[in-house]
Amino acid sequence: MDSSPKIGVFLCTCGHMMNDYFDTRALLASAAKEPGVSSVDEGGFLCTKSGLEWLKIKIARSGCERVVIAGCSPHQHELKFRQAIEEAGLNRSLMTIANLREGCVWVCRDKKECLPKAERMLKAAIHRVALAKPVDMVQARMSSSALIIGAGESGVRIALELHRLGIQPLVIDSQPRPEGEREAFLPTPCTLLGTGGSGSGQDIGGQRHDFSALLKELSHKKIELLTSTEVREVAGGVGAFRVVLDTQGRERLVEVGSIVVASGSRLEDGANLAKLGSYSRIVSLGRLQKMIEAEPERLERMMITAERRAKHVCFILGGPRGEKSLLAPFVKRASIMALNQAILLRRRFKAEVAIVASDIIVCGAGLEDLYRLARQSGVLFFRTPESRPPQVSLEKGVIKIRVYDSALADCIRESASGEDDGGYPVLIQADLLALEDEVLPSLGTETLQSILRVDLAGISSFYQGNIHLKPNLSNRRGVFVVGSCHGVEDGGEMLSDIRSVAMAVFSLLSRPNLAVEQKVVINTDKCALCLTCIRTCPHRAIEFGEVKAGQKWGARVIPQACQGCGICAGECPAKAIEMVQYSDDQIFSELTL
Amino acid sequence: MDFTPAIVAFCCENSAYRAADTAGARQEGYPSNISICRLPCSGKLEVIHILKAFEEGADGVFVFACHPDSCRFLLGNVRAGKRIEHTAALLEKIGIEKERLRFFYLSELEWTQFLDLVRQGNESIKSLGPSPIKVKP
Repeated sequence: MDSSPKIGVFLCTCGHMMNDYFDTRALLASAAKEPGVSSVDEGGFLCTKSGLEWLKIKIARSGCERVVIAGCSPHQHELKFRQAIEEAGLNRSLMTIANLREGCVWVCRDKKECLPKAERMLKAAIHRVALAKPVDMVQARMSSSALIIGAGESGVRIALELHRLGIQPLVIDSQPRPEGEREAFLPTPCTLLGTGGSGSGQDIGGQRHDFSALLKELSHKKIELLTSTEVREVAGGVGAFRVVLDTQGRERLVEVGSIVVASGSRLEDGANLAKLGSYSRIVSLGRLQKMIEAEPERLERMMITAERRAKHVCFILGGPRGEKSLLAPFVKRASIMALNQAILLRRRFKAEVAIVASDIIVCGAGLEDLYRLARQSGVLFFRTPESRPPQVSLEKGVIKIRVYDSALADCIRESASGEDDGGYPVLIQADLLALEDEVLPSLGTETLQSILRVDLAGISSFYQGNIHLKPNLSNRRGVFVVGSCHGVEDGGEMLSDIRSVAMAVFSLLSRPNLAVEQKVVINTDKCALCLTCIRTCPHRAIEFGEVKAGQKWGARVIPQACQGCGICAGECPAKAIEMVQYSDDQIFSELTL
Repeated sequence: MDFTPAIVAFCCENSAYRAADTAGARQEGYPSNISICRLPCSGKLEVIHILKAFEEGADGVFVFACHPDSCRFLLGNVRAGKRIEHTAALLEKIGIEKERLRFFYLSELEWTQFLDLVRQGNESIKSLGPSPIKVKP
């Protein structure tokens, strides 16, 4: 057919490596017979600068409209080749790579198999490229402003950091007054043994920071802070989120480029959760820390009971209800706090201290030493099997803790044939019992999640992308999470968290326009507005509305938010959605065997 | 019987396609009758693509998805798994053994597993013989 586009096939022999496996001329000769192929050629190293120049010249001379590059895996140089053909005046999507190196010559054991397989693969690529459609480039407007939800420690810090980078932040908080102590932190080991180190986040990065000073800096820099304000509605996508804010009944529409969630977390007092009644000698780790710092005399009196002069303190780690904490950061937080307090109680109050735990986590700089120090100063450790949590009872003002120690059971069972029911029974009598607090997401987290349409992780705190691939990114592009709303972290970790989010926001919003590919197109004539795509899109990149002014309604893609996974195209029951580079016809064309 | 089955392997470009690349680069060799079809996510794979592969003469179809909980697009692999189950039922109805359609979870780094899976898969398809719809009356 004359109307079919002219295809140029370019074989990269990878420095004549391919010639060892098959006759490249025979391959190109068979390719030249395919319909639409106007020119075939081979080069040594197409990925080099001179190779790419050669490619551009060849494309211009042969006048081909589509390009097949036969060479290495698309994961190696696809982007480079796409740029090159774009520079040669073709649309970037009018190209296909036939993976002859990793997919054919390095795979076949028998060299005789290479040529037929290479011919088959090249043929599939030629068929595929013949069906390629040009991809449209869209200029997306990026507003250089950010909405920060939550005026806690992390929220205020990120606002200051973004302001420094030239992005206009707007901070909102649902409470009438911003509070710094809204976040659960891991205490940093460098501050642990001093008098400070309350574990409430006041000590960050070795410097003592005052939250009110941070707030002062915020108002000094004229960063807008709206208190008693909640998010009602979020529409649009990255670069242009349209957010409806509600300040005590008054609604306000703002347009922001990015949204940073810094809603923090809250603590549920461990002593209340244990359901042992209100007994002043049972305290939470947080309360005990404050007493050590502020009320040592009262603590001293509490530890001395009428019957006994020695002071006995017991810590129970693990869930406040006796079960094991679900996540390592919580175990770590409780471990560090308990070890720190145990050492202080030994040193300052000469108390007998026992720590009962099924797991202690001391990974991190200086933390192993902290554990060793606790051991050396005479703190007793009891390791309980997870199946038998410690049992607490109150008898005549004395707290009795029944523990089954698994390590002790192992020692004793060697000498005598003891019970083998997991743990040797030990009875601990304590004058003071300290229990772990539970870290929970702040109130309203789930409402916020459903308005923002981002996912939550297992413990209903905000989901954070893969730590190696996309830390701090939510599943929606342009929405970031920072601080303890996605997990407990220490001060230093929070600071690096804030900086990385600030850099991510900055790199996203620093240009007024962002050129993005329209990877997915929706045929509005076929769209029945069933909302399947809107529900299935993992990145919330599809919204619905009037497709053209005054015309029918339908789904539409927000190209800057789309990451091109094709899940919507796979799910659409009306087949109204098509991926430009993976259309059904293109996939079928690869299946010719 | 000397029978070389035609096998299509649908690979997610974030995991199995990269694993296949590594397997190729190690030059360990795997059956050359396996043609790899690259997908942006296993969630893109539709029922019709699998059926079309059989129609075009495939004796077996393998689908590789990322491990549960590690899909870059959250649930693409889970959707693929469900679709494969559905397609297997359809294949049974039209008289194609459901064993010809195999679904595997694979990560980017598991290239040795990729080799094992395609080698074993190739053997099992070989033992099943040619696809029943290929044998023309």
